[in-house]
Amino acid sequence: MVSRLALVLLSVASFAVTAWALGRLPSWPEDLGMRARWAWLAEHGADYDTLVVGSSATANGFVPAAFDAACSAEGLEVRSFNFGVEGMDPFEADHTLRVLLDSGLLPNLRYVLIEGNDWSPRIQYPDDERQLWRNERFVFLHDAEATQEALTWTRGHLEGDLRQRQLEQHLELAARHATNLGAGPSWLGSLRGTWSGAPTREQLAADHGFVALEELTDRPDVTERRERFLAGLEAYVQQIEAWRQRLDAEGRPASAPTPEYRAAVERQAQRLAAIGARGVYFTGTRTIQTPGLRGLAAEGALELLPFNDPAAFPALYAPEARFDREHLNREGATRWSGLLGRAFARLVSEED
Amino acid sequence: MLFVELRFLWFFALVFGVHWALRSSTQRKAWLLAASYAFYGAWDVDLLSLIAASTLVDFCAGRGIAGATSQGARRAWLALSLTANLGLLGFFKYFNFFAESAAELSRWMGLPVSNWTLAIVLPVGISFYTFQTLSYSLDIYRGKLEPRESFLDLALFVSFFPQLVAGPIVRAVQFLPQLAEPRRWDAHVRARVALVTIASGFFKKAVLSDHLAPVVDQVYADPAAFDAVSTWLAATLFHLQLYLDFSGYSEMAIGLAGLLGYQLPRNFDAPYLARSVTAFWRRWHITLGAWFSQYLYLPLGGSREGSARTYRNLLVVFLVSGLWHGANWTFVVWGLIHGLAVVAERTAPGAVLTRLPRPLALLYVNLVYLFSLVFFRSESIESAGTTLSHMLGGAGAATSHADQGMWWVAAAFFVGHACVARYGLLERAASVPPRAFAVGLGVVTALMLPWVSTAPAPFLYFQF
Repeated sequence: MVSRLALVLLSVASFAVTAWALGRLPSWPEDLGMRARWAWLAEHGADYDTLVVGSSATANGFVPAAFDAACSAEGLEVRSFNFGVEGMDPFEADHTLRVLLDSGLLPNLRYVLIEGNDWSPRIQYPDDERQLWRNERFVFLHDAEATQEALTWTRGHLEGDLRQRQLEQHLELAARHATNLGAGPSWLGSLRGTWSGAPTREQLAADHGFVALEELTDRPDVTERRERFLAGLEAYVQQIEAWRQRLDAEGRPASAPTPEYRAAVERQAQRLAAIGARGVYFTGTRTIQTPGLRGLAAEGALELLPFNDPAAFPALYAPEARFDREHLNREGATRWSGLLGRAFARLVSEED
Repeated sequence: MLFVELRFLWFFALVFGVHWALRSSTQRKAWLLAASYAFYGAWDVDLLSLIAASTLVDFCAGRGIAGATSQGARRAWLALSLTANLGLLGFFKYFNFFAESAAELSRWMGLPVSNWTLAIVLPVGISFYTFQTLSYSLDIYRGKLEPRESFLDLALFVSFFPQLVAGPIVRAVQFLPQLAEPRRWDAHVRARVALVTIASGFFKKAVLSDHLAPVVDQVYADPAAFDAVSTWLAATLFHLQLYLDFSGYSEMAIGLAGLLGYQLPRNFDAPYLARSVTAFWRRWHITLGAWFSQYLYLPLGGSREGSARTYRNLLVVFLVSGLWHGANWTFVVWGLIHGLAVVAERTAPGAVLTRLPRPLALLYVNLVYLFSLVFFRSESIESAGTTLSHMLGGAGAATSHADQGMWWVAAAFFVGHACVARYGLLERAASVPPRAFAVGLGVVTALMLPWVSTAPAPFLYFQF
């Protein structure tokens, strides 16, 4: 009996060691330009000293050339790279930043700009098992540390069936991550540095991670969004005006952040400090309140450059600067990146 | 619940653990029966009643046949079993097919008809478990088996979850005697053989077959759009997919049953190395072939009544076999092609086909199978005609191309298939010392998982 148990344990240990060793291979997900950015940094990471992580507001809004030029005009020389990816919330951005820092792909990193929003490690497609199963990005995200955070948050903030289901899905994704289930094609793609779609190598060389939405002509969902925006321009203008009035009436509220968000911000600060880099948070040009983020800024836990304010930045919310309700076009993105660059350079100069 | 799903792993771990923890044979059988019903219930709880009803009918019929005092009564009990089982199968699987075919025929004859079809859900595995229950009554009728006193034994034989939904088709005489003897780990379990068999089946299904499916599905969804090379590629890949999928499932079933102490018969034996279509059928879906041989071919007279009757019997078996696979004329044509090939090989001029040099013989067998599978895979005879016409150079303006890199996969498969069979690689793997085996199993599993498809397809034979 002991001998049989020993054999089972030996087999499990062999499996675990092999899976762990294989798990050291890079397996960057191809989803929505993620691998493209990883692969580019693997080749050119030393060229950049400033990294920007965030959602599509960043991916399709942050123009490194405009940001760098604005910083330069303020006397701060930087070379930035846009690691924004559609749908990347602060939880995923935290993981991406951690893996990037651990990978050593950015040896000259001095500054990191992090798009702030609510901290919510929820699975995006809880009812679409096939989508969940296929999405290598979810699997990539579920390493031990991120899974632990997700489970803690889910236990503390969700209830009932949703909580149970999300816990199960987090565990399943973590199991896939740990066993490398289905990771083979991703390894091959990562090792070869191959990907499909935007950004292409040419776009990366020219725009350093930025992708203008008007150039995504092969994405029907993007085209459809643009058409919807143009068809509802009047409603958009009214929405912005209502948002402006709401801000005037309610102000820009700050509230206590969740303990998980606070802990994540502290971890980020420690990680960046350990490599001599500095983190600055920003909000994109969206009509969302970010009270938790403002609360952290008010406490002095982070430095925040907020742009979710049409009263303060009316030009960024004008229809001619927008691709759709939530995103800027290239012209608007260039303008915003310039504003962000100037604000960032002044903040950094003041502190330094 | 598929064998390749994570939840099945937890399910089997629970079943395995409790099974061997229980001391009494009756408790173990009751546990396996409950697990089998839970396994089937994961698809459709309502349809469990069909399995239960089928079991009950045959339990009664078996006792009735054995206890009957006259031949007429024996026949009546057998007729009850046949009617109930084939009636269920006929209604759920073939009602719409025959109704539509009759309506088509009536329209062709100029008679006014209306649609008679019903919205019937085909119960998973019905073709498999009805054949198993039938074998029980038939074997008692033929005097080869005693009726079971224990309803539990018969119910477990009919519903044993490793092979419930897609075989191998186990005959009552093969399985029921195993239930009479308490299972013991040392005497009945060859763990290394079982684990290698499961690993081999998992590799075939999850790593190979599921990666072929998208290319095959793409071409067969619209064969008219694809060029000749792509239709050849799709036909070749389906040729492999079907084998990998079905033999993979069978191997996992055999291995899982093995870990529970039960032996299931082998279902495949390197079929693509067969040198004649006749030999192919001794290596492909062996348990179905054996069932038809025992319960249809031999009762029809087999080969004992002259060439003409033999040919007729063979054609009947293959036509029925085609229809068993699915309620569609495409399966009938598939069966007919094989029947004609087997009959041809028995004739004097056709016998030359069985004496071809090895490379030509392999080419001949694989081409016959490949062309027949075009019908097997196609939605209709018309669609099969389009695919065949494209394969034979009639692609015309079709411009779409399938991933031609898959030819390398096909070539690698044939080499691997031959090597595994020729050098007995699986048997060798199962015979290495225990510690080396334990390490190897862990390493191989870890190396295999990254290549598992993230878009798992249902087992092809589940639809039958």
